[in-house]
Amino acid sequence: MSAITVRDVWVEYGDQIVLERINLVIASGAFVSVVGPSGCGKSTFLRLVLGQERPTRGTLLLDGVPMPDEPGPDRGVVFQRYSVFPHLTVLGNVLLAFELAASRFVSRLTGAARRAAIAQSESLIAEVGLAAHRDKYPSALSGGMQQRLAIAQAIARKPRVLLLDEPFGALDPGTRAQMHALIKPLWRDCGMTVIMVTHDLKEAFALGTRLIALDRPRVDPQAPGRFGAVITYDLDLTHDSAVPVLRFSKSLDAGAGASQGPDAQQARQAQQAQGATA
Amino acid sequence: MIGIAPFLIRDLALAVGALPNEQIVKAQSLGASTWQVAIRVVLPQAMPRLIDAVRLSLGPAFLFLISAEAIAAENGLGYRIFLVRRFLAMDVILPYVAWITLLAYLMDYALAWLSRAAFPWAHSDWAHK
Repeated sequence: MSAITVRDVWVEYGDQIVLERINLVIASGAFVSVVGPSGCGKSTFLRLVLGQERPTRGTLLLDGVPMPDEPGPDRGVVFQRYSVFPHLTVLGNVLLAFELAASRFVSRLTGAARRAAIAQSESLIAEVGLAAHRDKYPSALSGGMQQRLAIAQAIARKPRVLLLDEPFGALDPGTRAQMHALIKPLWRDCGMTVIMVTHDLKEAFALGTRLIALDRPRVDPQAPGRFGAVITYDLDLTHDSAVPVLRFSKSLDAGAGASQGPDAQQARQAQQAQGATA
Repeated sequence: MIGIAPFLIRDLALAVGALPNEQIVKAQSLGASTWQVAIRVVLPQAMPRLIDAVRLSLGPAFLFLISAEAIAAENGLGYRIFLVRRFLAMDVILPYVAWITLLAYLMDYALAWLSRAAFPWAHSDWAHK
């Protein structure tokens, strides 16, 4: 179980407001795509969940418990770059996850424990299709292979939440399609909650069960930092309808009828009206 | 030793500071403590850089060594050179200089070999063997 609750979160850097009143309930096992223009706070949101940053106001809960302020083994992460350790082989990179867990002081395993960890690592490496490259260093791998290794490494500790920060942004379209085919079954099997930040709308719609768009609806030209980004769209992608359902949490309460086109349009108008009055 | 240590420390600090922050966060998300980050992530990646720095510092190190021996030692190659200097015995001095050069070269070679053998990932031409 790994439900994430974001309650009235604001992030400010000095005078600049990055995120404004973010309220969000992410169900356990959801695949959430986060999209938005550059610099609107997508990565900031991810760093919040990761624990690399703290909200200025508001709280983040993981299964009802406040999230720790530091990155920990319950939240795995894959960055766009620099996600694997260049000084370790493919096997060493995955093995490191087990070694860090099992041996607090020397961080090395010996004997039977090491053999068990190697077996586990090898099955993970095989799962992401890198079995043939077990003893290579990351510098000898292509970008796609490095990202696959990063994913294997990130899921080794069976995190409850997997955070992907533009994980496939630096890959060519063919490799990206392969990665999509890889990540989807992994997510289904592990039953973890995935939050993926991406620039690629197609990818966001293809992979996610829910799509969140962040944007700054209000800009003050005299004080560009005065208004932060809010959630402008929240789409449910699990329904097989032509038009995605707007306002995810509301539509769940309203029932199944909300999945039709005109209703969604009404919801959008209502939302805009709300935005104007607020 | 004392002469080049500050440079080595400075160089090492720069190397550690240049590590991408993502790596530290990634290690933390794998459950690493600060100590574990230091010994499993930072230290191994700083070592090849340290060896490179030591190789570069060999020249100054020998300079310090010879001058120190000239001033305040009672044995050593530098001490001997300065001992026979007063007789202008170039036939003795030149072989000593050759010895110093050879020693420095061997140390440099050994460090280069050590770096490649222990940290093949830092040398792209060795990483694939």
